[in-house]
Amino acid sequence: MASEPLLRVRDLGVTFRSGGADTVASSGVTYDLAPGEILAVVGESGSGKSVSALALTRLLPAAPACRVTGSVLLEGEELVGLPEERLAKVRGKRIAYIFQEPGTSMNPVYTIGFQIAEAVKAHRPEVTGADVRRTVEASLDAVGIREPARAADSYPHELSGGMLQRAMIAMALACEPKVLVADEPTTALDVTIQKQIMELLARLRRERGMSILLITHNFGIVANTADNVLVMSQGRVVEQGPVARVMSAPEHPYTRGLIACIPRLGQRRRRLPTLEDHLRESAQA
Amino acid sequence: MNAPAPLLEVRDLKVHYPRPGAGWFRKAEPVRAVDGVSFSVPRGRTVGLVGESGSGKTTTGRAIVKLAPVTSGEILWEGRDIGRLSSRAFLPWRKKVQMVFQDPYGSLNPRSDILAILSEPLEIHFPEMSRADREARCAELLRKVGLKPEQMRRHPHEFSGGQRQRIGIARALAVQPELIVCDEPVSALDVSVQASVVNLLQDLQEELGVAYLFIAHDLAVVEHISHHVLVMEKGVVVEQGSPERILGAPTHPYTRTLLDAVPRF
Repeated sequence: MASEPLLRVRDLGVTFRSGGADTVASSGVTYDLAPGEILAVVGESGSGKSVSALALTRLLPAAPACRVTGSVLLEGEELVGLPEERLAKVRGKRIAYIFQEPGTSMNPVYTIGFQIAEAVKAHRPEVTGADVRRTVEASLDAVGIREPARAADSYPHELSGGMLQRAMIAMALACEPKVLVADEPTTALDVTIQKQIMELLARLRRERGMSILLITHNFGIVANTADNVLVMSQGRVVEQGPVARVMSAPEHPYTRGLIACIPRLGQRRRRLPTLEDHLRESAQA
Repeated sequence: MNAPAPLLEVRDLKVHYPRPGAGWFRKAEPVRAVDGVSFSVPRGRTVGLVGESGSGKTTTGRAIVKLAPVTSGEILWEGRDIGRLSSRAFLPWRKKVQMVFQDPYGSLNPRSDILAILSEPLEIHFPEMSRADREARCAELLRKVGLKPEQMRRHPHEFSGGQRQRIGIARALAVQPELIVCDEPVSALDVSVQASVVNLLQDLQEELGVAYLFIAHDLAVVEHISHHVLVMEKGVVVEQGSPERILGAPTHPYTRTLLDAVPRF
């Protein structure tokens, strides 16, 4: 028997309204996320990949400026249409987010430890007193920060980009979420740090059985980390399936173009193939 | 017979910054951002400069265009040291060396239209140019970088990241430079857009014979565009050579670490 999905998303759509006109940011997004699965959502800027992930817990402007339609079942509970105060208990606690720029996601005037403690106190009332600090240090330790006590007492500007992203992940972990949404977690980081962060995410999935929704524009980092992939273009899912299948035999021309335009080592060519070239050729074929 | 001097030659360049916290009685060790870097850029060629954040690659590039102070060493332009000129004396060289910045959102004035952005370097370096000539030149530049001349009255926010980077390239080209320092020109762009900007840079080099110092952390892009590659770590060049050699058979452990970190599939 296939395991029950942790997250069941059906026909999810996001529409923004401004100046009386509607803009459909994404529509018809459907997928299942199993416990311990890493699902990658790949697409260009403006493809709707981030907005459909934010829509899960409605981290978006309030109605009528923004409408979320469809269904999001988290462990059987419908999230679309849930009142704000109930959603606030889902955000961070059951579905946690980390973003592209760890520097701007932290408050510069509080220490890392203070900010993680804030999340713990908000979402885990059972943790009190000195246990809060212990939880903070344990989660910093879990993301591979060598001196958790020292990092907890540091301010964001005292840490490097890679360390800050680890601290962000620690903050997400401290509340023991079921699903971690990682929105371009390594785009702002150096390649060597990118590799470390991706390895960290893979380890957390292995050790804690956490499910991860990995949002990226780069097929390169998907190949080594994700189980399944969803390719989005202009607000719609154009292809989805197991990573190995999609990477080796992409069906949609857009997917083929996205994979082809990644510059690879050891394959010097006169010109890099662009997405437009690819789409033009397949339209003629 | 001597070979002609390269377009640009950098000899033992050092850029040191005082560490904050040093006082009258407490002399702190300076931050050695660039600590003895030597290389040359031949006319019409691309030299790739690779390294991580903090390796000194950006500071090296900025020192060449006089955006970072040179502590010691020489920056030779066709054999003449330009590293120590005053800003005023440097002006004729600023026309020859231009820069393209990493962040296409932060490097264009949001209040100016594209015509104003592209006209500014022309007003400084070609003050005799008439308004009509400047406009014609802007139209030509936009066409060169794959945009439409009709778009010159628009403002930066009306363009996508890739288009803005094309505008940044057009601005650098405006004064007909012989060298462009490109500081991470594609790393803020989607992978799908990176390819078209890299292709544009190569086409422009073929057409105009401009040389590039291409600073990046993406090894695959650097391998693709460069004729010669330098690897920097902690302010020094740890390895340099042809891209085939550096990326195919690296000898320095740091280069290998960088290579191992690139996702393969």
